[in-house]
Amino acid sequence: MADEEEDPTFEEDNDDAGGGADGGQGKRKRLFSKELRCMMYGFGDDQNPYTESVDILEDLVIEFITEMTHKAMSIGRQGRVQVEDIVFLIRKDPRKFARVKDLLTMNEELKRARKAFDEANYGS
Amino acid sequence: MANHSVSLWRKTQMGSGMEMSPGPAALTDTAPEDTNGEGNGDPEEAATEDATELKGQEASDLIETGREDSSLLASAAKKMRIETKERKEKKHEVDEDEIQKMQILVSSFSEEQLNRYEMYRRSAFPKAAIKRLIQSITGTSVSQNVVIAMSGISKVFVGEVVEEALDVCEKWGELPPLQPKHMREAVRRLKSRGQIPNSKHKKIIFH
Repeated sequence: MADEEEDPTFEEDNDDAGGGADGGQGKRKRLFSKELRCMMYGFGDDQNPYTESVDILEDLVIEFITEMTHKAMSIGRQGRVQVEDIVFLIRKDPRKFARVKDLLTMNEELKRARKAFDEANYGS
Repeated sequence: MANHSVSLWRKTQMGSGMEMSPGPAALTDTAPEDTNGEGNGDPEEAATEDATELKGQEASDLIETGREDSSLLASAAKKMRIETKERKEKKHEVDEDEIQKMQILVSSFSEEQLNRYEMYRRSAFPKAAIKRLIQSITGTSVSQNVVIAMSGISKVFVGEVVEEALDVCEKWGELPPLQPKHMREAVRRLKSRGQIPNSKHKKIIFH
């Protein structure tokens, strides 16, 4: 009973200690272990972060993406996830909003540059 | 915030002799053209009045006013073009300053800092895995832009959690590597600030 009230991240610790016992998200294969380690080092952690911390972060990221996806499905065009919905959900968070705007702008510029390059090649 | 940092930068660059303000320089460059345009305004009106009366110099005067007319319009258009160019230059200026500052900063990094910076810039979530994850939740396919946006936001999210956890770690007087207790305390703090979305808690409005 007490387990249900606790944060799901607590179960993570018990999982690792139990070694293979099913505990919610502990059974799923680790999707982002390598990338998360590099990311944690880049953001200020040690060069070799603890595996348990990486696991906690991975669960957090998957939960974050899941929440955002569900919210995006419920606004705008129902049942679909579109960029405008994500931008709308993020509008209150200045960092994420600026980052999304930058990424999308850069992507557009790259696409235009690639297209111009291809056309130039095709012409010559 | 960019303007503030630019002004700080200027103060620190007092004696360096760097070209810090192409903005005002551009203004002085275009000033003669501005006065040209404005100078034409007054004699132009006088010229039109004169042209209707004088006969001998009428032809040349008309030609003059014609030229001044079009040149007035041209100078007005030029002014607008110059203003937008200045605004773009100012934005470029801010970008240029930012880029210069970043270059100087990165050039003074130690090896360990360089490694960390490289990891910070290069690490990213694999697009295929993110796309698979989102599609498994929605059941339909998603566009590439959605995957790009979601990976970018997730990386910022990881950064926020790790930075908060490092704050917690330092506050508790411990050293990295980060332990799960730091991560959990960081998540608790971020949740109280509303930076972690949580739609599982059912809010009871009327009790």
